[in-house]
Amino acid sequence: MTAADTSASRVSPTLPALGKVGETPSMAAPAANAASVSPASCRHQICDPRTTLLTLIVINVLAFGSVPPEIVALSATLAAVLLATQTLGKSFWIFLAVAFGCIALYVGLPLLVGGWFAAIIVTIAYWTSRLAITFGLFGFLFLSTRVGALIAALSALRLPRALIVPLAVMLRFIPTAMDELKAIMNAMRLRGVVSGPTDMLVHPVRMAEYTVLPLLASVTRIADELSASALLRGLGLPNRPTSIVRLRVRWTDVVILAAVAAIVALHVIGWTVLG
Amino acid sequence: MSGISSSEQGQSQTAEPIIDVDNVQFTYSYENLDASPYGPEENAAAQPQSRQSDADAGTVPALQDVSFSVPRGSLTVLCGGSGSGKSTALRLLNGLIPQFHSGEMYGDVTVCGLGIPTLDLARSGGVSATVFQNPRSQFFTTDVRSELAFRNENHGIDPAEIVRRSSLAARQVGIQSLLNRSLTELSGGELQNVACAQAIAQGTEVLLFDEPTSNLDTAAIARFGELLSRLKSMGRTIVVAEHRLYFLRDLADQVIHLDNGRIAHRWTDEQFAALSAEAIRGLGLRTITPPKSLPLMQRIVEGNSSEVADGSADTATAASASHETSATENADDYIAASSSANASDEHLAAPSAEPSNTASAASTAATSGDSTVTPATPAASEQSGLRLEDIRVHYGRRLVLDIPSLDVHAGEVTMLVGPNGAGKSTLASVICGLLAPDKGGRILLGGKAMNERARLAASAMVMQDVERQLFSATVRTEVSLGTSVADPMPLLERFDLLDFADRHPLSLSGGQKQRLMIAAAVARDAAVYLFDEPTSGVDRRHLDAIGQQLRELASAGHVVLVITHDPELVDACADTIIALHPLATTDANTNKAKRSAPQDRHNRVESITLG
Repeated sequence: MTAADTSASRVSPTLPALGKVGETPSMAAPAANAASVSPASCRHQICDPRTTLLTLIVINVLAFGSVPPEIVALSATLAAVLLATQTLGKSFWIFLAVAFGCIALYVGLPLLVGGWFAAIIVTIAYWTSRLAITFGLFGFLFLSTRVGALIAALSALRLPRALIVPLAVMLRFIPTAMDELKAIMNAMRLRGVVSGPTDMLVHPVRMAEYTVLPLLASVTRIADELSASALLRGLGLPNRPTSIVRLRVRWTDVVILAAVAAIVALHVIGWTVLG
Repeated sequence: MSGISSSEQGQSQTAEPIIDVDNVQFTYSYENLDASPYGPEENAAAQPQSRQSDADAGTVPALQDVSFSVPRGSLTVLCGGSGSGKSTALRLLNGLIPQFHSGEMYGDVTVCGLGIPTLDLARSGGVSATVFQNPRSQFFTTDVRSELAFRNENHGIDPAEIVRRSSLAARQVGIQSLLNRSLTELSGGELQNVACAQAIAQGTEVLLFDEPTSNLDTAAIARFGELLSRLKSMGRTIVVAEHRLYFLRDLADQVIHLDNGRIAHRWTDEQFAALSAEAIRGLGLRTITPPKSLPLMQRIVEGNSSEVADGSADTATAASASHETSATENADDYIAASSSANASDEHLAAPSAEPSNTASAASTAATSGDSTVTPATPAASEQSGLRLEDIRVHYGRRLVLDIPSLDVHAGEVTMLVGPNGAGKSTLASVICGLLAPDKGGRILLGGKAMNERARLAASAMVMQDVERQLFSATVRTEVSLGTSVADPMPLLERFDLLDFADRHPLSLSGGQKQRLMIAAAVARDAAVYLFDEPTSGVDRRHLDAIGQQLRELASAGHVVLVITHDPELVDACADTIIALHPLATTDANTNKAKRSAPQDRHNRVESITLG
């Protein structure tokens, strides 16, 4: 466990063999099985985290710039395809409806009606469509990327630890905070403070008042315990970490990056459909 | 990396103490609000006034004159009431004190020859591995395999070696089948196993456990005990801070009893085992002998009847258990039919006078039909109770709960017991109206069918994390929140909270928060009270108090349903146990996999009336 350890060898080939070295074959068998079929709920890492991050940055810069609706639609399509590899549940359909609904709205509405009210709607839709793309891509990041893979990828990019650790913590922590929020909402319904999701729209101030403190209290506590556990386990060590995650460029990375490049290229050459 | 000594290397060294704590005094520099989420912390639970004023002065040392040493390869238990300093003492050993939790510290702590107080946290983590109490907040990664590797990756260990250590640790704990699973889908017991495995995979000689069993069911506790004994025999040095003591009685080499931050008693293994139940109770400690209902609970969570029927059928409860078990052991269709029959109109009376030749007697009784089932329920309590019919719940396409019929009687304390992942919490969510069952299911309260909205209004639930349930700015308004209670003072008095009426709920100690939640639940004047693990990680005094409150609620004629793994709470106040078995009648470790397959089976549900 000295300097020699830092050589990042490719370890994945040894994984399937693990099942065979157990003392009792019967106990080892399930492990071998589990290794061959990945359970549905496990994260589907379809590409290198670096590809995900690059896509996230480029598409966001593009979408929040002044780009024609075609490019926004293409970006939304890419985000939708990526998201679809992770989930086809409610959140996917919400994303699809909001992103393309808003694009259709801000392109189509000015053709039909005019006036200040339509202008407000168009402006809102214009920005919502872009925000939806950001949310979609972040959703993809959270759903597809394991913390370990992210740390490995960022370390491979030789980014400083001061940047990697906060990113890793964020990736780990946001889903936890969402869970806490859900639990607190449930608790409010139980206490009769609110009766349902509609109350959030009717009494936003009261909702915020009742949500923020418990959320902060529990999130702070979790953050504290989490950092104690992580620090004890060497998250702050200055050396470059090794990783059991095998990072390699796959055909999916090539496809995704090609799609990103194509969108950028289309924007650069000024491609439009609507004229 | 020089500090890391794996267990193999450790063996060759001399037998001098591996941990040495020398005359330590420590005072937290802030009021220790984050002490431990489940433990009703701090002396406040016992002596509110003095604690409060002392804390204001900031002069109460969390530890005083604490000296002890731990021989290599031994197991030391730190016990004591809530706020006695157990967790604080453990934090001395892994360096979180004073590196993470700052404060004023005197004295010295040495682990594996390293002076811990001045050592960088990551270096302290090089000589000891810690298993924290709360599985939700100690994992940094999202899947089991990465979690086992996380520490070793950070220490820059060769990946091949990491994989070797991880798989070895997984095998020792028995979680190979979980290696590819995501942490979010594991049950509390499975998570605790993962936490143990990651600690073992670190390869440190010293292992520290902070209330490791507070989220475990009885079967998992038994397995955890076995794991500790295996680790001990492998030469690891273990320190456990715990409330639950019965499973440690035969494992401990040294027991240190902390009281108010001082070491009150030191017992060797023989002295500890020889302590009488009265002495233990007098010290405010949890029982050191197996609780009476332990065999029954174990039988339920293991769902494996034949093993239990022989060894443990020496009490009335166990006898009734083995009867019931055999009755439900046959073909699935029969199980569904018989259990729904049991649950709906008939209660099993515990054959309290019957001798314990049950194993064979019970099985003959079972084959002869329902001769062991005696109708014993008065119609009156049936009327005011809760009745569930054809309750099915799907998460996505996966069936997670399927209960043909179940009765929960008013005026009784009913404990909902079952292995982790059996669907207890789902059932509670359905009952309190947070979750709608599939179409066709009916829930009746006092004979009236209730929809979700009506159930939400009629029920009060005290969740395990009380902090998530406190919304108001003061204790006074918290109690009356969402209710029509005009004057909360009598309630505050009843729950011993009068002195805190104007404080912020989140500034209370854990025990006080829980009392406040129960007071708020009572203020709702609900018909149904649900409790989720009210005694996980609480001390004896608090456990007795909760038992008392449950009794009072029940005797006021309410439906009181308590999800629990705690046999001591069952001993304290259970009238009826509802055993909820997972959908597939297989080993608890594999039930997830089995359950994902669509199948038309019911949850086995048994009602067991305690004599």
